Amino acid sequence: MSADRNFSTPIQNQASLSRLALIQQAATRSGALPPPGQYRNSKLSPFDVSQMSGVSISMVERAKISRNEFVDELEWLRRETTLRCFLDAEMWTNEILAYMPDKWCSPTTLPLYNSHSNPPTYESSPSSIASPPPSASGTDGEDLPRSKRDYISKFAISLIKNKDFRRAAYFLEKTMKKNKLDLFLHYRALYLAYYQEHLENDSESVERKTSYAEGSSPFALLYQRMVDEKLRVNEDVWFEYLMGLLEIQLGLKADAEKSMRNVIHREPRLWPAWEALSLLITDIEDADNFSSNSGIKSIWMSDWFMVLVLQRFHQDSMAIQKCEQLVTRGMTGIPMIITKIASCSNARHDHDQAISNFEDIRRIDPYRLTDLHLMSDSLYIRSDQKALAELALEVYKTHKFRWETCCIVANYHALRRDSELAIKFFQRALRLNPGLAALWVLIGHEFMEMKNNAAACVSYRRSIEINPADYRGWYGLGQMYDIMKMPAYSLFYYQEAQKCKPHDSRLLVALGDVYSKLNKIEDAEKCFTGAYLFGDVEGNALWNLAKLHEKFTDEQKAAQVYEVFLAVYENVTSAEEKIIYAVAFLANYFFKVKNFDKAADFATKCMAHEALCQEGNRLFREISKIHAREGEQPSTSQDHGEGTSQGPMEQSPQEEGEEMMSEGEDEISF
Amino acid sequence: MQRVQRVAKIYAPPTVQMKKAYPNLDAIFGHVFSILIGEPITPNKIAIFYLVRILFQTHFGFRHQRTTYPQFTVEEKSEIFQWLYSLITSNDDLTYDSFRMIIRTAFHSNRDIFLNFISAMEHIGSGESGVNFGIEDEFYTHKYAKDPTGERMTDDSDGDLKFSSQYSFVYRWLKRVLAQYSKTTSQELFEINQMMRNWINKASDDDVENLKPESISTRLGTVLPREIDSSLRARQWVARNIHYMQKNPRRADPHDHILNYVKLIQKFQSDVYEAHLLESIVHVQKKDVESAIKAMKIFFIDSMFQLNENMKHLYKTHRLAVPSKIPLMYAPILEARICRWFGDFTTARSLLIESVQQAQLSGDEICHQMGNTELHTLDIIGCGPILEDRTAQNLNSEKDQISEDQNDRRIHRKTLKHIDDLRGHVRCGPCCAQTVDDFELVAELDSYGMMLMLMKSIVEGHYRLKYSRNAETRMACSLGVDLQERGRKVSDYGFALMSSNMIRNGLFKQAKTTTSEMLSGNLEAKNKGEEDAFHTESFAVTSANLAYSYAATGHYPEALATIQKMKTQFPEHLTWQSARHTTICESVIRFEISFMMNKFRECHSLINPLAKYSQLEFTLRKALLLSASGRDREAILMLKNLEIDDVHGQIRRHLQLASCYTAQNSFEKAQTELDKALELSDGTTFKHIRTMIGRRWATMMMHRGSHNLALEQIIELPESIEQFGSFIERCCFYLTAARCSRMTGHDSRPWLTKLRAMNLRKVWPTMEKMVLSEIAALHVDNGLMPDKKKLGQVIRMYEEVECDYPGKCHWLLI
Repeated sequence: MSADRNFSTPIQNQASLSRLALIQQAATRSGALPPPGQYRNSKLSPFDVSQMSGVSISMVERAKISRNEFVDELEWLRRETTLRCFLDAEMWTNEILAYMPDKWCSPTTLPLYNSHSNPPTYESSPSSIASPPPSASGTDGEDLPRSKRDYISKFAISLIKNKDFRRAAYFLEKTMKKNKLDLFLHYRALYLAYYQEHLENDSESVERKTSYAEGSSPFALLYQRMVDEKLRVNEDVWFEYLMGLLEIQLGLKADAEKSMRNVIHREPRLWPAWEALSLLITDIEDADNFSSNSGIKSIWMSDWFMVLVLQRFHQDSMAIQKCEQLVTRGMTGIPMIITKIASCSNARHDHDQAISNFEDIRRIDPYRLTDLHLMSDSLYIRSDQKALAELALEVYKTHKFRWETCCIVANYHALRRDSELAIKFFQRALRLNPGLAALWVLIGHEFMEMKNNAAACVSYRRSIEINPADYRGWYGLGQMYDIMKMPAYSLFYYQEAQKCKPHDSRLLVALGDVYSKLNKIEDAEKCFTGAYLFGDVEGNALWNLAKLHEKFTDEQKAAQVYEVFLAVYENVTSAEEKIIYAVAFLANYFFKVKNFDKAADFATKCMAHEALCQEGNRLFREISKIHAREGEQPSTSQDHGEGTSQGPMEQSPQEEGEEMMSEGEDEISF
Repeated sequence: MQRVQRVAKIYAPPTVQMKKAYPNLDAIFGHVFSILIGEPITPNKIAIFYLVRILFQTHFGFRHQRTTYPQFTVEEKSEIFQWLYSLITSNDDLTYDSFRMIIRTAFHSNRDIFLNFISAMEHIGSGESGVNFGIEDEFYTHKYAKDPTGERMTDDSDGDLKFSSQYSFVYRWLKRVLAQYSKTTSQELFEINQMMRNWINKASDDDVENLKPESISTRLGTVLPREIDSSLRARQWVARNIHYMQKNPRRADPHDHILNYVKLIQKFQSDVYEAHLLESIVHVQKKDVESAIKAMKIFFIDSMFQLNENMKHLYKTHRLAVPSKIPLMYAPILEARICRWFGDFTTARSLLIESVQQAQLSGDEICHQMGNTELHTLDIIGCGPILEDRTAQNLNSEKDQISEDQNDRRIHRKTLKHIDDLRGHVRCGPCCAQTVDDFELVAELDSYGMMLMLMKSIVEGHYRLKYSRNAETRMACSLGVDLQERGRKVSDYGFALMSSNMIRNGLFKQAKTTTSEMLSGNLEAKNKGEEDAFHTESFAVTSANLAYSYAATGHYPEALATIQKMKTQFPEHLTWQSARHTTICESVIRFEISFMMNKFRECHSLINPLAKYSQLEFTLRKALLLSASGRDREAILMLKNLEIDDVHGQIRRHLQLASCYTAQNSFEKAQTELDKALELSDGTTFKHIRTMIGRRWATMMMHRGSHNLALEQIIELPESIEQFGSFIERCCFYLTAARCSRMTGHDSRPWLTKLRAMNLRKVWPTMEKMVLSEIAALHVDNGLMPDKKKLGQVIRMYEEVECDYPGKCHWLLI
């Protein structure tokens, strides 16, 4: 397709047809139309993505990541997280280090334990951080001997690692006065103990919501204690991070956000703070400003932070681009990044990409389960029963009680149309991870399969309750009512879904469809146009728009849209039926409005499709008849005068055509 | 052989029932109906429980041992139950000290009850024993308690008060406490014991502060306000507020208070769905449409998961909840009603059509009828004035095409004249299979349907004011016991409608009697617990009609007093639907008063509030004002541009135009307008219209100078003007009659006497001046009855009025 495409139905009235003009411009501008079998916008420039989403963030190409800095940062983080028993963060760091590109690990350049990083003296002896010089006798007067203290500290660390937090805190209380690390670990152990107790109480009273006493939260007491001891301004930045975590538990989100920002300013290498901030921040552009303009050194971490933020706000295309930037800057082969690309691809319904990325991950790390439920989701949508069965079998063998496994197995059962079992596994997944709204949506879908609308409705509602910003719950409800032929009632839910994800073409198409059913033509038109301009993932916005105009007998507009539709989807094999319809419509339309040249063009196109050959032939015949009549016209007008010349024109070509139509040619009618 | 087979059959293992595994919805959705919160267990309640148990053991014995104490007599039992009742119903928890004192007062040396109680408490206080809620099986399993030998221990005489009667208050309370205790987790058991020990031991402290129950943790978990701290009480509180929001909003809790409580209920008591409905009602009153619709939608979604009422199914499956599609059908109706109230007719119509379709698919007759009734309400009333025909406007406001068949739905389903009629009522399909109140609903909907029909015929001007048994039955809607006051609401609605129709037909005295009777029967509660008066929209309409009837009979101070009362009864912030009627009524009556006082500037500001409720009423008055200020052409233009479909409105416009033309001395045009009015009125059953036309024609003829013709017309009118004419109308008539009589040489004094009897000086001083001028014209030297003395008196009187109310009566042609 050439970029300078001229549409044969030019926009005559710019004011009234501005939306159509916009579509034509977009189709013209896109120039490089997608290859056959692929929809538009599967690969977009950052500018296009930003234009579509309405979000503007910096996409500056940065230099390659400096290996030394990269290793330094992660080494520091590994040390700190190991010392302070942040097991998750430790695992995160170690995974990245383990998957670091080989060239960065060459023995000549890897300064892990040589000049670059000084092996800290406290690695073997945690008590030595900022501890006072040992006294000659090796004891602190009335306190414990130093060696005993060391043993106690190590014991406490083992206790923390074995999840015996209360006991750890008790032992650390003995040593914390002399050792700052122990002081931190004491608070950390208490925090973890309270957290564990909170979860245990919660599970005990899972069926009784009121049993949780909010007034006397131990988190509040611990927080107050830390405030009283002015630990926020302690030189050890981890204290402030811990206070941030407490603030999150107490629901003080604004304060927590402030604390996390402060922690990152003080120590940009502290990844857990970035991660926590990515869940607290309320605005993408604010996050972008913070990560790019606040003079933070650790550039790759800030980029990864932006990936998390973008994914949280459903800006999946941008998140993928950020991930790709990180890869081009040197972070190749890191499973974390590949998984993220895969999950974002899943979210934007690019399932082939998602499956391929997940397969890559499984090849290099077969037991990595993070986000693997999304792979099962993509496989389900692609109806790849064989691959899904293999995946389910493998993960069920090794990780039976991981929620991801339950989800995968549930999807497997769902694909086999065994909804009861699917629901059972989704339910199990929910028990293991109650905060995941998407699971309720999937349960709702299964209930819909079982024609249990009421239960589906309640499931979707639960999803909305957990996360009102998740469009899927709203969309599910809308879809349910729509299926039940209650478009007016479903409108509210579609609107809410669209509010959650304003630039998702699928939601706009659904909304447009409802408006069209409610005869709100103007609104429907807006939605379909918006859907096309925002990418049109499923490729039916233009089709629906054309059908809308056709339904409301605005054939001119319908023709214009069909033309754009043909321009965009002519080579898309999966849209063949629609293309045939569009070609036939246009050929007939141009014939009807007496634009015989264009009618002949489209009749020629008709000949390319087997189903339309007869229609094309018929039109050619009609056109040639009219040309022949026009050739005779001057002589007849001379004979009969001007008044009679109107005679043949009064009879519509369509009618005449119909008269001449032979049997079997009336299959496509307009 | 047969015997062997039979034996083999008996000893054979039971047949395995193959059941398809269906997802356990209870488990999936978090056991909504088994997590409901019973009586929160507090030390006070534990103590009451211990007391009840001791009383029981004193009466029957302990385990297998029969009691050594004499059994309680009926009188003693009665006294005990009184004590227990007062302890249980106390709103605040007592301290252990107070509790001990009460028990001592109640049972001091009676069968060692006090000592046994103290002993049990002190065992718990000292930690020797924990709180134990075990009770004897006898307590609630047998109707009549028996001792181990099987001998019946209680007499079964009718007068006996039974501990284990399932209807007794104490028994039900015990069941609730026990149900809650059975759900207590291990952690909570420890906490309960600790709480109880603290409660008992704090009593020994000298510190008064510590004696207060608030100073001790006496509740598990989050402490909710007592009104909503158990599912039962929360449901009661919600039901009470919903009831009052509809019946008497002043009795309901304040809106903010309700919203706060509703949030708590929604958070902690997920089984009390009605909270969302209450929230929606409050949002409607606060005119927050979006929130109202949201809350309503959540209510309907949540109620799709209902408590299983089929015991057989429950027994088989042990599942408490069942999904229900019923709310799916009803949801659009209420949402449509909200849309209608706020003027979104298109959405309302689409929603109602969807609801009707769903009802048809499920064969739910009630939903179908409800949807239809609501659809017709939308067409006939919309959200505008009740008796103004806006059907065409309501339909025209739809941008989309509404086909004829969509608009032609039957709502007159079946005539129900009496409650006994239900016997012959044949249901088609599973009509209201799950509702218990189907008769009430059917009768109510029938009545509303009928009234919509009546309303339609009234607004079209076809309704005949005569006794109709059918209409009467529908308006009365007798529902027998009428537990939810539905029948009462329907009949109030009917009476309000009828009184409005009386006003519309000029039957002011009758309207006054009807409305006064209805209002006087609506008594305010004097004591707590008594049912309060209705402050519904029907009563707002009735009160407004009373005010109109006062005004129409010239009793303006009474009319204003009624309006003032309406303002307190129907405040805008509590019930804007009713407050609309107050606003309209006040504008109309105050306008009339100011107009008669020639305060035109005030009139302009008074009619402004009318504009948003009724364009017709606003324009008619605005035109009158313009015409009175000499801007006749503007007034005529305004009237001509007014789009009216209502036949009554059209007649009024013609009359108004005729008056304007008369004032311009364009008598031909006036005549045309009056002819048009007469033509229109021929097709209607309005009682007063012809009189009004006749009076205007007479006035026009008088202005034209055709006094004889005018007098011919006047002679025909007195009876009907007395019957149907308003105060102003009658004044104008009598004055016209007096002048025409004088001009034709007849005695005008009988007319003038009637005018003077109406005590115009304070109400309509300018008219009084005209009357005095008329009398003066009679007594001047060249008049019909020259009398200098009388003339002097009249002139003096005129001067007095002129002094108080300067200005002339410019407008005799109202």
